[in-house]
Amino acid sequence: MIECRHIDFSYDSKTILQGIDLNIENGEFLCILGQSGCGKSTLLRLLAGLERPSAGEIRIDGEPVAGPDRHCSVVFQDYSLFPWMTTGANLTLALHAAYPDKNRKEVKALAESYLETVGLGGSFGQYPEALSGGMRQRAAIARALASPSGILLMDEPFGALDPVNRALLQELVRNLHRDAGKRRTVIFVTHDIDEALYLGTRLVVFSSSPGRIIADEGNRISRRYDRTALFRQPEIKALQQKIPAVYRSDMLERLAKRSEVRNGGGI
Amino acid sequence: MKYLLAVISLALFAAALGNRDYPLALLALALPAVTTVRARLARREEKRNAVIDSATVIEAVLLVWQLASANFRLADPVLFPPPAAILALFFAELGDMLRGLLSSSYLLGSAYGLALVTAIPAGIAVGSSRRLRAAAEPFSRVLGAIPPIVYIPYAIALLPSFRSASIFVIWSGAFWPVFVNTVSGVVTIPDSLLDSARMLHLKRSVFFFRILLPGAMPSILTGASLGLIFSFLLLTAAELIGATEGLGWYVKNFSDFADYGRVIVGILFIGIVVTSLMWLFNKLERRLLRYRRNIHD
Repeated sequence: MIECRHIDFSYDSKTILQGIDLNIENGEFLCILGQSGCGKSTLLRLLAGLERPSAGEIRIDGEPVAGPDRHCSVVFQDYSLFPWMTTGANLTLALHAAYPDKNRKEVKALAESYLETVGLGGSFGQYPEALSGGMRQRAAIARALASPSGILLMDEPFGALDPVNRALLQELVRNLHRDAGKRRTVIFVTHDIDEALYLGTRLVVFSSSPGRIIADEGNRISRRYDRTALFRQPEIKALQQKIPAVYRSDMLERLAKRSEVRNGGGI
Repeated sequence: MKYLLAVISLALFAAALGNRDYPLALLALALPAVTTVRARLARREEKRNAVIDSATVIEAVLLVWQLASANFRLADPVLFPPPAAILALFFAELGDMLRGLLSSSYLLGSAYGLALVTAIPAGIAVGSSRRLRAAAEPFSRVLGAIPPIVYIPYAIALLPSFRSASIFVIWSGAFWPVFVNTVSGVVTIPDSLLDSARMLHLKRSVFFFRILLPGAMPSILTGASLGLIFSFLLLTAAELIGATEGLGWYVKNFSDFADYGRVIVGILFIGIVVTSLMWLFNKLERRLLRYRRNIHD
């Protein structure tokens, strides 16, 4: 269980996040939607413990987050894998750190099985530069799975992929999450509404500058259907309409506020 | 170019034969032969041309030199001994020069090694801390800009032996390029890689040797290659001033006696040594950065 209480975050006296209250249950697949620069990646970094909030508190399973957190592993859009190590070495590095008692052989076998899980069997000895973008993200996911943390933080992981690979990887992550049940929580940052609808069991929408939560929608039916059937469901169609509308009304509200301030200052 | 090489080589062969310089005549034919083999082996057209072009230039220089100094005796034989004499002298002096190389390698190796061992850890420490970086910048700017040659007389006065003085001077020449490039190498490691590494909870030593060091390696190697060139420059400069043996001393000593044959031989030998050293360095660089082979080859 992740609890965020009244999180504020500012950087260089610019408010990036404001009053974020968010509870995430174990086993949820939470998609954070928002336009670029709305602070959704920042929230991910706060959850990971890579940054400290300016105000408020984040607790994971009751413990406050202070510094890079053992409960979390991260996949970034690019440059998650260390290019100077083979894919296999990227995994064994993480595994050795996570399981200091396991010997070389056990760790290697484990790494190979994780690569197998993401459909990368046989690429143990290859350098990331030799892999395609999709394969690289698969390997990054394998490394994240290899660490014993229950929370997987993904920062627009498929943003740079071509549509085919993107769909394949969405499938992979969705299946991994489904098979892990309550043991794995995924928090997935994206600006693609359909991606969020397909993957997320819950959707949170952020407003821009400063980032606030402007919508929080459950998406319980997402695991019941495959892709084509899912997007035919009226609930999903309704969300497809609703989320852009939420963006629009938030934007109009902010524009109105800004002109109010301007007019008020003028008088 | 192929025909030009053949013509010049034959001309040199004839000129050497005419003067009864048999080893030079042999060389005149051996060089195009070797070149042909190398050009055959070269995969790319560019490389093939480069091999032939450089052989042509060497043959042309040798031909002009041979004609001017031996066949027509236009040049002063003291300043420009004929190529055949240099060739013979080179092999005669090889033993002495190798001994000089040994002494120079000791100086170069210890000073350059010391520079790597100090500059790389210092550079990584400074590169990974914003505060240290801000503190170190003015020093590296001012100290790095001073040409280390100016330290030589003072170092000789200050330090107990010529050996320690030259090690200090070579060290100070190699240190800054390695240090500055290591710092910038660490700074340019993408943030998401460092964040990924932080999430893995690595031990400090693992973080240093498997993340920071290899992450900064491309830039470290750039600095190390600059440092090596500077080291060699300073080594020979130091030896010209105070040594009693070594490659720089060899050249300086014989030019004091106006023995320009040995001076030329010494210079050629230094050229060969530096070239081999840089060749080895490039091999090492390729090996260390082999993970980038796919994009850079």
